[in-house]
Amino acid sequence: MNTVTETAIHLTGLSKDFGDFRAVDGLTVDVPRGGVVGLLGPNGAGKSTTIRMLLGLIRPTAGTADVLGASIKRPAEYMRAVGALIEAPAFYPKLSGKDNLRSLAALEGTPRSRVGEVLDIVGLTGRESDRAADYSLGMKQRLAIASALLRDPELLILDEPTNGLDPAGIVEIRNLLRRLGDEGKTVFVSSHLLAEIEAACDRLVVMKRGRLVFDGETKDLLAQGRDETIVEPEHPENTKRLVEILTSVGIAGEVDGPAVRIAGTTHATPDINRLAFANDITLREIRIEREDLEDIFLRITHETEPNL
Amino acid sequence: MKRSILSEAIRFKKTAISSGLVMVGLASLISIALFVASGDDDGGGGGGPPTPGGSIDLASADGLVAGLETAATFFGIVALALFALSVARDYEQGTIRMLAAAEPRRALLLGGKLGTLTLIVVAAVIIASAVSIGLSFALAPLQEVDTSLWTTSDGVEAALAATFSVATASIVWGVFGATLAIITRSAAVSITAGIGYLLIGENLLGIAWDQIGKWSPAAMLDAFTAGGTELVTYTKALVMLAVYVAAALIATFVVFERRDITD
Repeated sequence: MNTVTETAIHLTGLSKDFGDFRAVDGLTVDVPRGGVVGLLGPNGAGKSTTIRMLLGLIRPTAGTADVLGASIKRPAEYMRAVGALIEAPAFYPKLSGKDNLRSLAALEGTPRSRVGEVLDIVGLTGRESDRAADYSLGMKQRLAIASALLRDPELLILDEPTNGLDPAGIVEIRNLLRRLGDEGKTVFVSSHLLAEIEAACDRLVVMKRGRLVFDGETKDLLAQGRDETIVEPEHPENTKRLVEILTSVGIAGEVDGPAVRIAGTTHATPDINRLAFANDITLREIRIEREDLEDIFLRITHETEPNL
Repeated sequence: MKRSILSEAIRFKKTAISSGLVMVGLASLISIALFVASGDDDGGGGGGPPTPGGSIDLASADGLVAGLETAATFFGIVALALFALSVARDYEQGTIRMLAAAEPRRALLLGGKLGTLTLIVVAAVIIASAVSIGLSFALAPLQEVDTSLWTTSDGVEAALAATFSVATASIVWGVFGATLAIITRSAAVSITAGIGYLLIGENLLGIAWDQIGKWSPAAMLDAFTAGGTELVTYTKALVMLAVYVAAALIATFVVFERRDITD
């Protein structure tokens, strides 16, 4: 049994090189126990490499990491309490879904009765005797999640668990992850579906080119969102004049197509409306645009990107 | 290790059946061919069919397992392909990630896999041996082959020794296949390289350097299954094969233990 620590995952300066290429660069992250933590990053950010290191599949080039209080140099000490889904689901195609799980259960030392339970949890009951080769991508993904749940793990590490799922399946898996997190399990999940991450995760770890860009609560990242006031005159030819009028009273704006874009929301929209009306400009619309997670993600992962 | 073997047993159920059927089929075909050839032989019942290793006297004490011994190389090829395919497929299909996450003690994981494959090969050889012996008894009267020596203690000993030798040689072929599969992570490459070297490559090397037959793996396998040859005694072949298998297993386990599991 591992020593109970407050953090489920603790990374300190974790790095991984593949030849001359540094896939993960000095990653320092703490994932607390309990709840759902999202791992975000564009392709090539180092998410899968990080997950592979946590699971003991590859060894770090530098740095240290503990999972459930045990060093990743000794995965056997903690993997019994970890369920994992690593990239694309991989199963023995000629075996049924149930036999694939039975084989894994035997390897893990998990009772056979658990196979039926996890098939039920992921909604594959009734199709468990079909060959894995005949499963759709979504069904394979469900089977992979079932395999991760087999040993009723304390920590779930899932790489893109909603890949290939239909919208209803995505919602089901999101709810499942949320439920597991609420039950006190730790779910560390990577995904490129930002809306899903936003809906399911308490905390986020954002990576770019192997480096940490953000580590904190989801609400803190969302709080970094920038708001803009969009003012659209009835006649687009008035946008340039509207910018000049706003600038004359100290409101900085810029023309963006048929509208004027003003950074922030501190400007009272009635004042802008009155100002435009006083200068014979009729406004079609004044609205506030708030950056969502996707906008923030794109901004923080591109902000320091050269030539983009 | 037990858990790993149980897990592999579920996975290899169909593979075990098909490999066993191939081996039984080969042993049966070769046994039938030997008896048919003996009937065509001028010498009649006691005479033996010509084989690559020379004429076989089917009426001798070890004539009972002549079919099994002749099929040894084919069994080896099946075993090499079985081991290589089973190991390399896990890399090709990506299932190795899942297995290594389920059992992070990689030595136990690989040990269980190789152990299961070994049990499959041993079982298949024993069944093939039994079928071959049964066929020999059935075919002997038809070709007027004298079977009196088959049921003597020498005959029983010869049958047991042949079964042991063929099973052991098949496992050696299999271990070579597993080693190549772990190194290349490709079923096609490991099977081609393994069979290509043991059946063709070594013979070509032997043309250039005749001393290779005194220590090379394929020559040791031949000497072992034949119970010794003019160049190599049975004991020397056994010892050399033990050394080769130990070296192959050490290389296999070290590579599997230390290498990153990547795509």
